[in-house]
Amino acid sequence: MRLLIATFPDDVHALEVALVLRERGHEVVTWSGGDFPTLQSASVEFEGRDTRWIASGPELELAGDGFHVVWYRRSVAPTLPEWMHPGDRPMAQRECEDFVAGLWRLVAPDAFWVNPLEGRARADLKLVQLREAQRAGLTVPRTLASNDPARIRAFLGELGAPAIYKSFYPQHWRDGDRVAMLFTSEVSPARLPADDVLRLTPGIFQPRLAKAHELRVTVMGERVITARIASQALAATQLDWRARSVGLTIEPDELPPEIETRVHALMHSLGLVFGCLDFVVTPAGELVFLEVNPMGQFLWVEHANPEVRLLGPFCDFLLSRGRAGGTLECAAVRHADYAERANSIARTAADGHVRWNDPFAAEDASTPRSGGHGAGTQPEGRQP
Amino acid sequence: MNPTRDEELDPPRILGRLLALETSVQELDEAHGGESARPTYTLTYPPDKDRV
Repeated sequence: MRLLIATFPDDVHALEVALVLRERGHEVVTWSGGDFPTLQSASVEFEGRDTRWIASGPELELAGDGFHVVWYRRSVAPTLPEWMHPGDRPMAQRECEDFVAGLWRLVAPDAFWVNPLEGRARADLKLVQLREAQRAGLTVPRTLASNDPARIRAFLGELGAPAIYKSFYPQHWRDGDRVAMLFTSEVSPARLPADDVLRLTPGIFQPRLAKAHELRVTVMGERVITARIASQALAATQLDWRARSVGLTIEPDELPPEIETRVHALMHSLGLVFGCLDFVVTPAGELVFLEVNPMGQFLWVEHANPEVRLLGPFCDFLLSRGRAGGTLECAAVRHADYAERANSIARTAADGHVRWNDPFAAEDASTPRSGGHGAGTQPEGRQP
Repeated sequence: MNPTRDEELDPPRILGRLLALETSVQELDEAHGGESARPTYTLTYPPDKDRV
């Protein structure tokens, strides 16, 4: 089988899956989006009724389709060189992005896509997720998404209880060896900036939920793999389990059948075949949907608890092209048998490629060393 | 009309920056297993989402 993976060169998930599949005789091509346009060339030609495309670059030599599966793992924007005239960059960037977006829609149109591009783009929007989750019958937190300072302040007042703020995208700020990580955070009216600043960045505001524990639900077609995260056992992970992985206990779990049915309905309505969903389980046992990550990270779960098998099922999901009851070629595959090799490859995989610019990182020369700006250090984690 | 603001030495920060957890790269590594357990951190970062 021929598989195409879109990602960046040192993506451990992609490297590990490629190792497994190549060992079993499948052809895997990885396409590093950041190499375009400086190290990659691509052309599309239309003639009569024919359409032809060709792409080449480091570890990439493609013409026409012929792929059975496309794993659109990570979208990496075209990366322009520093030496380019700043006045020309906006146009070049826009032209590159439009060209590449069109090209991807011509690549392997008949393949099994994880995920289909249109579904992925729509499902990445949190407001759409929440609306579709409501429609699928899932419980969602009371939510305000807004940049209206008056409405935000009123909402926080109406809750009369601790509230949280979430961004639409992850973000962190770097200043030398200092870093400011944005997770889900507790928020109160006193912590809001002035209205003319608050309105510049829409945000998501919800009541802080009481939690018994949390669930990470990985959906691969019809298959649902659920892990229970004991997020309340550590002070650092009570609000957001992403804040700390050391000491975080993860156990296999299962969704109630009626919730699983609703999860499938949500995936269908969003046009996704793969996704990682986050749920809170309240002390009363209610499952509250937080979000679905259309191409969420998943190997960390098996890394934390090898009983929660994900690498093998994911490889079989690709090889089965989403068909229920497909191949079990990778049933015996374990993350532990591939992790070290994949990480070893990852250490040098970026050599010879364009350096990937992390879209969620910002330089922050004014990061306060202590106190300052009212940011403070929050000892507790956050709810994702 | 583009709104203006009195000039300040340090421009005010947005809510996300005000609430961000401040730490060091070393502390962050330690929270995710330290250098010896780097794969754990690598498996969870880059984060769940990317930009389409």
